[in-house]
Amino acid sequence: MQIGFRPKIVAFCCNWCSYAGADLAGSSRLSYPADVKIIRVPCSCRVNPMFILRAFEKGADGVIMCGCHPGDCHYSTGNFYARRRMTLLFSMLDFIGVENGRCRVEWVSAAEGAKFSQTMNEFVEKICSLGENVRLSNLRKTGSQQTAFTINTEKRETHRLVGAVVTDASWTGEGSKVSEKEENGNQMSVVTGDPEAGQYEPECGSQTAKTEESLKIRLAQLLESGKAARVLGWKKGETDYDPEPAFFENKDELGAFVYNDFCGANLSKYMIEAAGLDGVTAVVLKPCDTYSFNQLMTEHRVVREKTYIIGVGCCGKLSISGIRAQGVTGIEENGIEVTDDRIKIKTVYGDREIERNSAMLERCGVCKGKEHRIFDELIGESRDTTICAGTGKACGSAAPDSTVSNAAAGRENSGKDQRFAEVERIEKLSAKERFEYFSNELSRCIRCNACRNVCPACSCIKCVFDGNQFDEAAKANSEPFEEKMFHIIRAFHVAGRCTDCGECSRVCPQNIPLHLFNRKFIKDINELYGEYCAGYEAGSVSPLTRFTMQDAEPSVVTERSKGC
Amino acid sequence: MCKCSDTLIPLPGVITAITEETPDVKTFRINAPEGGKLFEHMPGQCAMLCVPGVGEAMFSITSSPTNKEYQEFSIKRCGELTNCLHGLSVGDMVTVRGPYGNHFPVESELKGKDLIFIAGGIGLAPLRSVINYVADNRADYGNVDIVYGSRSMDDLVRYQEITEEWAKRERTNVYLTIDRPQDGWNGHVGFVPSYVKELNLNAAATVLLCGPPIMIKFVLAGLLELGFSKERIYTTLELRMKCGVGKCGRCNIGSKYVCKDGPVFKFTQIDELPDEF
Amino acid sequence: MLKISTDRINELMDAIASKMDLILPVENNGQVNFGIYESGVRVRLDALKTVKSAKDAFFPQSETLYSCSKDLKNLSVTPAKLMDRPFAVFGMKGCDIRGLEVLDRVFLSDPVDGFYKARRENGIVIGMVCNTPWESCFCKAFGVDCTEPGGDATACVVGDGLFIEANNEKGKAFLEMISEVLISETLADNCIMRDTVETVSKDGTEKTALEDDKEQSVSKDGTEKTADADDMEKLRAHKESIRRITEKLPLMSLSLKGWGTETPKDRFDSPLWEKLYKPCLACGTCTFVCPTCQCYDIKDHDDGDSVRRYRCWDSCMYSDFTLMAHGNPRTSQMQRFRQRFMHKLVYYPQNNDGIFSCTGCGRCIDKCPQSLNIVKVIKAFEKEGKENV
Repeated sequence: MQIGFRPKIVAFCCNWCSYAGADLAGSSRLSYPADVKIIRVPCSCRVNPMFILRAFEKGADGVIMCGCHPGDCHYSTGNFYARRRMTLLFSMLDFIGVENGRCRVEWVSAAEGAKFSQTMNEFVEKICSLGENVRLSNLRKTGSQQTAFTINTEKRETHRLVGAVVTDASWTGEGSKVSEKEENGNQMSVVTGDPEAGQYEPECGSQTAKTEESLKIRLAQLLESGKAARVLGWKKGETDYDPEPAFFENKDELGAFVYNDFCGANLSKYMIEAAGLDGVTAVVLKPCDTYSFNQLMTEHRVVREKTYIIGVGCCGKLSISGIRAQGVTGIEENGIEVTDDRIKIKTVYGDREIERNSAMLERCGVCKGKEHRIFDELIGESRDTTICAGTGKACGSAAPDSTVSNAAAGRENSGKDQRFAEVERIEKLSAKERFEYFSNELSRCIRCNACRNVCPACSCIKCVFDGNQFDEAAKANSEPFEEKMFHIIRAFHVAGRCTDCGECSRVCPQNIPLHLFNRKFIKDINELYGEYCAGYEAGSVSPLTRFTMQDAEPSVVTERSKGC
Repeated sequence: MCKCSDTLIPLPGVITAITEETPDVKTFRINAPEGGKLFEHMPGQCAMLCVPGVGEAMFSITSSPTNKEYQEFSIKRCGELTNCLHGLSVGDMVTVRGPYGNHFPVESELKGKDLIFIAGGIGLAPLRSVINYVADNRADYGNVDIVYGSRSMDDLVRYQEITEEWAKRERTNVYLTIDRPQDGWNGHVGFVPSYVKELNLNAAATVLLCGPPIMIKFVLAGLLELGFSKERIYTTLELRMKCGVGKCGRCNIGSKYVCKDGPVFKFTQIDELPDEF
Repeated sequence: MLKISTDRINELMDAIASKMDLILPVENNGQVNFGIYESGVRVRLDALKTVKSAKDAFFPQSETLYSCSKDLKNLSVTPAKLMDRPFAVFGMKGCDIRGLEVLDRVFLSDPVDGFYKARRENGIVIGMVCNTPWESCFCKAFGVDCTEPGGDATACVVGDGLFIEANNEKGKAFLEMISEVLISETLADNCIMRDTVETVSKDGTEKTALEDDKEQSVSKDGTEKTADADDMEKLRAHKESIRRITEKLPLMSLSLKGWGTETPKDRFDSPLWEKLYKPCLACGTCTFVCPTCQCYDIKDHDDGDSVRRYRCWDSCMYSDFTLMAHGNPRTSQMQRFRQRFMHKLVYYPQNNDGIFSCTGCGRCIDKCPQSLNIVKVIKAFEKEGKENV
């Protein structure tokens, strides 16, 4: 306990029970420390998770929320919802490494003056033992710095003493001559050494090409027959790897239609716009995109009657940054050839070949399954793309005749477990390590809002972060706490609605693993409230908008982490 | 020009008087804390007013540069910052930086000309600066006609000054109008554009026009019908501004920045600009 | 010219850092951005493109302008301190340096932006020759030669040698200062400072670092003069080979005909914009990674007793960019999208002697979540122009 330290504690108290409880404590002359500042709320359910974070941001060392006992809510069910919300929020705060115990929920009735006083005494003691909220206040301090590049003059001396500066030795230099050398030397790259590779199995690349042809024919039919007024698909870009989402209105325009291994973009969100257009929009959705569409239907953001869904097969989508990360640059026009397990790339620095899995989007390696959850017709075949942790090899049998159902069966014991492997790894770290991990990852955030704007669940007309109620603009990255808050609140807002489509991580220019926040929520929901997959069925009720009487208390977070 | 150390660093200014013009317009008189004006300006120029923690916005300076004691800003309540400004009282301080933008060419093209001022509502604010400047240099200019209209009698900004000072000036005619008939109003009733047509103004004169976009549109059409030349019609534009010096990039219309290349434009110049304001 | 062998780069960086703050490409979990050279960082001078451009060093994403008390009866404004100590930005590529020139025309034109100017004056830019241009690069279209990046000094890695050549007095003074440190640290063996024309005679150790081949470098054969000429020749050949590569890259031959000052008047009203903007998510990725986007917002941060006024990058892609109390002149994403490209390719050139406000760095190609970019816009209009003829 720090000498002379007096914590700042914010207590949100429900008007009907806990606030009255505090009153009773006062009139019964039961004391509790003056460090507790009470904010009266109409119901514990009124406490937006953002209030808690905002209190921390403004300098609170601890935040406690008090409400009526479950079952006693003045509005009958408010505190049940609050219980789920706070449990998930506390779990997330724990996940990013905020010390356990800084926030707490306690049910205090109007008759429990003694409990109120005792709870506050306990909580103040706990916060005193934790000390100042250094992790979060340090963030605030760095935020007030003039620039990201400002360093202390003292630090300059330490370079020479420590000498721990790492300079990457791989000088990919001197034009084509060196790049050949590099090609041989680079461990990441797979040198064409196995001519047999890809011979036995159907080449996914050509399969995709076939799918593209079938799609084009079918889409043209739909347009010509008038069954669809327009088509939402992908348009060929300047290179192999930059197809863009596009609306096609006639057969001529369809000439530029493309479906290849780089069509990662989830088109579901564009269907919100299409819902406002006249006539039917035919949309091409990959299996995972259909989850998002279902979810949007649940939220009444898209109109099923105005949609004709063509479920398209998916063999896992590739990311150009994944290819670049392996030192492949200078790709020639039409220079990328994708086979079942290899990517052959012609570059101005010589030909390269890499493993397909090494450049696949993270989400494809942990695919939820290749089953379209909603569609009017299906075109093209899918293939299991889950990757087993450790081996880095494909989980699916990838047999030539592998069908959707086979692949789906395969995922039951592979992809699904893999999906939470990284979350589990992080959960096992110490709080300090977790905090450092996320601080470092989020330090790269440039507040471009790409994650939010691409997210099919983030479909609010006006985002809460675009208002003027924040000190920092939605676009300013000057305050690390805001950054953290932005991502946590965003994840919270989509919790129970996020289908784990992975678009946030796909589009992040700084490659921040944003999906981890969403997966953590999904994992918690699965563990605490039963298996739930948003978008699996249209019309399903999100776990955050329902409850059971027996739900876990928010303290489960503390208990669980004790077990670790 | 500006005493600021950097163009983005403001000076503190004191509100020394507040006049309630209409239910939603107040005129603020601002002085330097040590007295006197914060800076010199030209008619038509603007300045950034800021209430720390609330916001900052560009307002036209409504007092004439010939006023050596203070600067005035007539501000209509319409958003967060203006709401806050309306709640301030004499003695409160705000920060001010400027002056920004160009100005009406009072020293060149307007000299010796007959001038017609046409304003609607709060649009009088930038023109008042010129009207008073002209009055103080009366010999340099020809006849002055002032056409000013508002929604109602209560919405006429600077009503007292207009009737008691402007109307009594030599070679100056003031024409007031309100949109709808109202008890106690003996003047003209009708919209500004139609009033302008009725007045049979001298088509050779130079027009300074400011008001809501819809009024500008119809007045302009009327003036062209009457044979006025676009070359001799000036107006001021307004867009969201942050820096005031043509760098923050949001107040551009085509390649022109309203804060730096404007706010005063001739209609011949506006015709050159893309239609995005 | 200063030459140092690549395995001694740490020492060179230490030498610079002993004199001033050093900003250079550093890696954080696979992502390379410009950052401060300090203990523990992973320097990646070999990375071609940083995620963000180096414009942060001169125009940070967020910077405090002044702080102001909140007491309206007694307001006082305390301007933020201007940058007042030297710093070096090492490894900026040609496109980024051109980006600085574009920013200069905005921030250093009257009225001068004091914050930017202070950084510009205190900052030394060491450009770097691109060794492996990407297919998304199209700097050549904008007249940028990635083998002559400019800046106060130019660095180039050839084989196992790093050459740094001064481009102006500032760069010269910088190189002299750094080589003094290197020499005083008994690193003279590995670093040679000399004028490009004159050969400064030193002891024989000078040759060691001159040769590519390790065996040769140990041996003392070959005169100083030939070695020098050798280096120059090697540099020249190296740059030539890079230039040849840029010729092979698909986007380098991008035509800018019909843009800039020669843009047709009806471009603004072209129906093509309505098609082009469609996939745009209205995020700010392209503007934040761009080396020339200079739009900013000014905001208040409530520090409790006082208000800190800061500016931060803004994006014309955001709906609140032009929002005013009484309305918004750009109500649709199409208008915002059009503004960005018209600004880069039309408005800026019109105000700045035809110079484009795009440098061909290709970051928007690499980073746009939905694969939109300036090349697609340029080519779409080119195609339309051809069809109309």
